[in-house]
Amino acid sequence: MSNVQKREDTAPAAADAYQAQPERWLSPRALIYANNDEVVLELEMPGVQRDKIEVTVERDELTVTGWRQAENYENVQVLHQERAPFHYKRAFVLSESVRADKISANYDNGVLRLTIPKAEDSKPRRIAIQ
Amino acid sequence: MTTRSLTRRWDPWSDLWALQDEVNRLFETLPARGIRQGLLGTSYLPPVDVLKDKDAITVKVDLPGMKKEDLEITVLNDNLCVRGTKKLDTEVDERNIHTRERFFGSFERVIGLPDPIDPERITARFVDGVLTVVCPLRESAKPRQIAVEVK
Repeated sequence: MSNVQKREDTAPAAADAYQAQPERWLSPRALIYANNDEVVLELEMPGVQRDKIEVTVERDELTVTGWRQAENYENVQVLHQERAPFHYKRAFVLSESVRADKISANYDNGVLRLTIPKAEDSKPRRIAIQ
Repeated sequence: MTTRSLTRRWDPWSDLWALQDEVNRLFETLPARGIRQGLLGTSYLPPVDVLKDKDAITVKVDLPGMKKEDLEITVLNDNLCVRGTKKLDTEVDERNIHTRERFFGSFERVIGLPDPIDPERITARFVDGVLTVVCPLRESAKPRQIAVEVK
């Protein structure tokens, strides 16, 4: 918990523009699955620009942060509002059987997809019958 | 066993805020002014903002993971209907899914537009999972300045 707290304090410069407003953090919805070679995490973070996403790994903790662009509703009449102004943050604990140094990420249509390769010795092996 | 150990560190506050958000959204949408669930009656309600300025009514919908080609937008009698099917990007064996919080399937949302709009001039954009539909007001619905001559 203290680690998460610490990192929030040291948010990157990209977030500075949004610091002025009160912040609400939401845990993005996830889909996590694995295949033989990798573990895949998909996180729903709509309305976040690619360069406002930060993925960090510190020891065994993977943290994903996304700063959502503040909507400018100053000169319009808001008839209905459900899309709350929030940013996204979520942390995961990685097991030793994945290669945290080889995470790849892409962001498409509001979904961040992280692909984490499995370590060689934790991949399923086929054993030939003699 | 790999995925089992990839568990999430529990943060009670983020869960609570997310829950509050969901509940608020549910209550806000229940009898909401002109906004209702579509005929499909799915449990998934993508969050919607409706804005108005002097030229147009703008509707914004969060639809993460949707593809442009799977979205259908129709207008009938000043009702804007957003319909779609959200699919998994890749074929995933159910047995390999560890956490499933994302919604997949069909949804429909109908948004009642408070003023007459010009259906021919509606434009829609889909960027970073956010759909923005701009519905220009019909000339008759725009505020007009009428000079009154004082005698």
